[in-house]
Parts: sequence; C-alpha cells; structure tokens
Amino acid sequence: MKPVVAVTGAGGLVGGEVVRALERSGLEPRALGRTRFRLGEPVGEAALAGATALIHCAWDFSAVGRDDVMRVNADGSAALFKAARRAGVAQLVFVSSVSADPACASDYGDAKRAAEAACAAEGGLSVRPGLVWRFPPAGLFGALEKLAGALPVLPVFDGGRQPFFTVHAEDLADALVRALDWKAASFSEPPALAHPEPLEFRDLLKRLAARRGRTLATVSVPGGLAYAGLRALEAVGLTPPFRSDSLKGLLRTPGRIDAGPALRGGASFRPFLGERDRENGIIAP
Amino acid sequence: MESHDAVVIGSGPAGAVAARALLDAGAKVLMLDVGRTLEPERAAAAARLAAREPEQWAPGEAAALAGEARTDAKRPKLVFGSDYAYAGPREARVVQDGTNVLVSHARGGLSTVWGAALAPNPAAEFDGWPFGREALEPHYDAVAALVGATTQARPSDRARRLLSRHKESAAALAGRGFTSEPARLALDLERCRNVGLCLTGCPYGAVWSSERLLDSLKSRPGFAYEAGVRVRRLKDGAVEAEGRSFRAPKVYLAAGALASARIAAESLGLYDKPLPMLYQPYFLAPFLATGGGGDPEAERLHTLAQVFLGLSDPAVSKRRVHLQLYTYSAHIRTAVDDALGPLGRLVPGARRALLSRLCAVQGYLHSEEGGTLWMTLRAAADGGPAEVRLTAPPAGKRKAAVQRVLRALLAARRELGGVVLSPLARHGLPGDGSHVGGTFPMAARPVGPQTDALGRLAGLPGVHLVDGACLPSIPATTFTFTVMANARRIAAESVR
Repeated sequence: MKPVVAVTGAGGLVGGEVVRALERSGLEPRALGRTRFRLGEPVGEAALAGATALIHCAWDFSAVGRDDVMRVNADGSAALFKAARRAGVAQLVFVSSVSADPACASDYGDAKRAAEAACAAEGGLSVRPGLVWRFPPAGLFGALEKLAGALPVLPVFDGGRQPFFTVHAEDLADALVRALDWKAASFSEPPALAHPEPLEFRDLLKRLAARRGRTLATVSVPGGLAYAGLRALEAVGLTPPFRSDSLKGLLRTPGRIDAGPALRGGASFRPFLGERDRENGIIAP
Repeated sequence: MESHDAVVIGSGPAGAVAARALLDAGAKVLMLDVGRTLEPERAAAAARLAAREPEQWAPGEAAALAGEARTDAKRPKLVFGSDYAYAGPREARVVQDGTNVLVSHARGGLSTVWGAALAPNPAAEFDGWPFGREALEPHYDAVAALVGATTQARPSDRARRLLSRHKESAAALAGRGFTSEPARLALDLERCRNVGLCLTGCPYGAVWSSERLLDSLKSRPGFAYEAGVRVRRLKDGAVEAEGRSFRAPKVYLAAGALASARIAAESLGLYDKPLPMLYQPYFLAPFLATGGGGDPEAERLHTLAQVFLGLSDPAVSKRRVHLQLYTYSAHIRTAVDDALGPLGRLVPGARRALLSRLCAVQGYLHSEEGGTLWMTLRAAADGGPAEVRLTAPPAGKRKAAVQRVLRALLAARRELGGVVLSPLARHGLPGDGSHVGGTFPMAARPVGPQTDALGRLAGLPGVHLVDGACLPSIPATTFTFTVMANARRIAAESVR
C-alpha cells in the first residue's frame, strides 16, 4: 500500500500542485479541500486517519484584523497539528512564508510564525516559500499579474525597490514532497523555499507587463501614506482591494534569504520567467 | 597516446593527496593543472636565501623579498611578495556579491599560502555525514605523517607565557568551555630556521604545501603531470579543457571547492540554477596579552599559529569553535607601526611593549553558524568555463555568532592571559579564510545534488569529487586537514 499524505488547502494553488507532485512521486495524496477541512473549525477524524504525513498548505485570507487572523490561522493550525499527532500522523510539514521573518512585522507573518512554533512543538517541520508563481496565473501572483496587465500606471510603494523572492509552483511542490524526508532537527530555522535572487517589486511587475507586450509606467507612492489610507478605509468598515496588512508585509521584506538548506536537501528553483518559460512560449522569445 | 587509469584535476592538497593514494594503489595517474608558478625572479631570490644560513643573509635581504606585510582580503597572504596564488576575478570568472571566495590557479593551489594548522574534526561533528570519525581516522594519521605534523615547533616567548598561563588556569578555562594546546603544524623542523617568514614565504620551504608532495610524485613511475590545462567540464566520459580532451576510466575532481563545483555543475548543465555553498564564519581580532615579555624583534621564531584554542559552549554555539593565536610577526609589526605612526620612534619602549604583547586571534566557526551562500552558473559565450556568480546569505546570523565568540573570549581574559580587542575585530565575508564547499554534499542516500560517500554524482559516472565541494558540513576545525584525509579516503576506497 502506498503511504498516504494528507494535504490541506488542496483546492488552492499550492495544495493543488502538491497533490499532483505526490502522485508523480508514487505517494497517495489525500486532498483535504475546504469541504473536508477548514482552518479554525474542528478537524474531522476521517480526514487524518491512516495518513503517514501531513502537508499543511491551507490559509484563510478572508480573516481580517490581528485577532481574527491569529485565531483562525495560527490557533487553527495548532489544533490541526495536535489532531494529526493524535491520529498517528508521523510527519508534519507546514507551509509558512518568507514573510514569517520577524523583520516583516505583519499580522500575516506573525500568524505564520506562531503556527511554525505550534508545528515545531509537535516535532514538525516548517518551510518558508516565497511568492508562488506559475502560468496560468493564480493566487496572489494572479492578482499582481492582472494588475500589471490592466492598469495604465501602477502605483508602487516607496520606489518599489522591495526585494521579492519567487518560487515556481512546481518547484515548490517538488520541494514540499522532498521535505517529507527532511529532519526538522537538522534545520536551525525553517528553510526558505524560493530562488534566492531577489527581484524588486517594480521589476517583477514590469516583467509581467512586458510578457503581455506592455510597457508599464509605475508611480511611487509613500508607503506610510498609503498604509494610513488603507487603515482609514478599514476603520470605517470598507474592504479595500489591498489590505493594510498586506502592504505592511510588502514594505518590509527580508533583503536576503538562505535557500541553501533546501538546495542541499535536493530542492531546485528556477529563476522567475527564466529560459524554460521562453522555450515553452510563456514569454516572448 | 599513453593511457591512464585516473585523471586528477588540480594540484592542491586534495588533488596531491588523492594522486598519491592512487599511485600507492598501483594506478597510473595523470594530473591536470593550470599550474601557475611563482615569478622566476622571485623564485631565484628565494633560492639564493635558501642556499645560505640566515646568518649569511645580507641585512634586509629577506625583508625586501617578503615585501610589505599587510593583510588584504582579496590577497590575504603574499608569497615572496607575489600574489600569484590568487586568480583575479576576471580570470577566475567569478562575480562576488557580498562574498570573498578565493580561487587559485597556482601549482599547489591555496596550500601555497596555507597556515599549516592541523586539527581533526571532533567525532561529534560528523553528524549528517555518511560516515563517522573512525572512517577518517586512518587517513588523518596517514596525512599527518605525510605532511610531517608536529607540536614541537619552538613556541615564541609570548606563546610560552600564554601556554603556561593557560596550563595554570586549565580548570577555570575548562569551566568556560575552553581548551588550549600548542599548535599542531605541518612544519618541517629540519628545514625550519625560525626566521619568522612563515606568513610571507619560507625560503627553506619548511611550511608544507602540496607542491612539495607533487615534487615527490613526479619521480614515481605511473605519474604524469600536465600544466597549462584549465578544465571546463566532463562530457561523455572525457575531460574537456580549452581545445583539448583527456580520457580515463576514473576522474577525481580536486580543483578547489569553487572550481570543482563549477566543473561538476557545468558537466550536469546546471546553468542559471542556484547551487548552495557552505562557509565557515571567520574573524580576525587583535589580542593584547597581559604581562611583560622579551623583545620579539630580536627573537628567532616561527610565525604560524602558536596556540590552538577550542571553545565548546552551547550558549555560544552548538558546535565547537576553533581559534588560533598568532604572536609577533611582520604583519603585527606593520599593524603596530601603522597605528603608532611617527610616535613609535619617539617612544621606542612603548612600541616594544606593544610588539611583545600584541597577538592576533583567528576564529573559525562551524558552517551551520553561517548560513549558505549560493552560486549560479552562466554559460560563457566564448566556450570557456562558465561564469560563476556568488551571493552572500543574510549576514545577521554569522555576525551574531562571531559576537558571542568574542564575548566568550573577553569573559575569559584572566584565564587566557589577554584581552581580545573586539571593537577592532575584522568580520570576514562569506568565503574569507578560504574554508568553503559542500555544494554537492556526500550523503548516505544521495538525492538531487548530493554525492554518495565516495563523492560521486548520479549524473557523472566514474567521477569523484574529492575536495571541499563534497563535504556535508564544514566544522570549525582546520578545513584542509579534513579535506586531505577525505580525499585520501575516497581515492583509496575507489580503487579497492
């Protein structure tokens, strides 16, 4: 019998890719989409029974406000890890984020870090992917891609020089499957899963626009001012398209990441819109 | 065409030791090397010194050849005033971003500027390796014999005082996690005349370099050496160099951690993909000894490391820290004279007191404390070796670890008999100290870029990585000694 690997967030960008990667490597994925598991809600016994490993990809982005984000995502993840251990799941892998770096100081990053601690407490391994990209675009990357294709002039914050670390969805999924063989004890901190070459936010958007044959003009907006504006909108109960917390995470990104531990563990990361994409016609030759 | 059983790429410590082990096993070996040598006029001047006893040297003759004793990160040590041991960035095809990984094209590689320090990895530091200390033990012993390991080099007056201080306070030092012992060196005591030129080029060739081993191999049947060959990659069982190609059933990659990784990666076509590289966080700090001493300028001494300090304190690092104390040398004299300026001549007593007390501590930490730098290959348009771009990992971790070590040194100032001048410490960039590797780490069950216990990559049959490029981690203890022992182990076991 093939080992069963439970995957939360299986309906999402990363989770879906992980399910396919598990199949490719001869393991049996158990896809836990939102119908079978929701963060912050009790975990059904059947979801985890008989699984040897869990890859926790789910995250609820609809939660707003620090308390809500923490309760749903951090506490919800902690409850999931406990339930997995009770069900006899041997390996836990938690999909955190490079934004969990303490320097980022966003609610999202803090909640990810709290969930990392809960995972570690159960002997699990957390990993920190960068911005996940693929074509056709999806997730946060999809939203950025759409903006780069639609707006005439794109606002960027404080010059748009914030470094981004990108990871192709397939590379990430392959790394997560490999991570099932990694020992949490051999990492002094959660390994980063991304191409270690930083890409400026501005540059990332321009490349996306260029792929659609557009030349993108960007206009710099002071980050502090934009943050105050978004906070004001949220305070009066409006939901701006871009949350103040996401902006906070965007403005404070780690300048360098250490992808070495993952690379040494057999992970491989392609560059953002690299040669292969040219060959595959994703970008114009 | 003559046929060989094995091609060894590189003449540094790993290559020379591997070649020797292969010859001992009866194999016919061809060594390929860029093989740059010291400029003939400098070599001739050194030979003139070597032909006489130091008493017969003209005043200033040796100092003139040594040139200025100043440290420079890009060329940390000169040999008889020459920087031939270091390949420039253009020539090495390396672009550095916050790193300083040195490449050598010299005959003997970076061992021509080696500190000759020998300490085996402690048994506990082999976790994550596909074998334990016991597997390397016979090779450590054999290499120690080969390089003439000794703890009997005459310590300097200052070193004697420090060592006796450490002995008196051994229990207190141990309580702080420190060990102290006379340095174990690859120094030929028969040749050594204690002329204090270890760091600028020994005319008598007393400091071991793999050039010496190479010279002894040349007289052995079955050994051939070809210089002027820069290997680009291995393709379809052949070693490809600029315009030439070589064949042998087995190939041993020993071009130095960066060059070997580049050759392996280019052979596998790993262009534009980040590849990892480990390094030991490194620092160099002044250490001011307490208590009087003689005039070091009048003393006959060697200027390699005098004392090895070990630090095992979980609050500082989970891993053992290796420290080397250097006492008076021309470099220290230059540092003092630079600091004092014309004052030095006005107050010669103060200058002498400083010269006798000022030491340098060189610190090496386990690669785990440093994070991983990464390299990417870009194919060269001219068909030559690929360009390598190196990028540093976040600096916070290594800096914090070095600070913890400096604090521990300062806290032990009484027992150590001196004060480390932490604010003047030079924090090395990733790569400084030249202890790097681990791009294709050996593993019991290799996956992806990992090699097996004999340094073999799945995609490159018959090829063994034998230098730093295959180390699973880089413990703080002397890197070169472990590289040599491991190269010997792989070479010997691969032909068994």
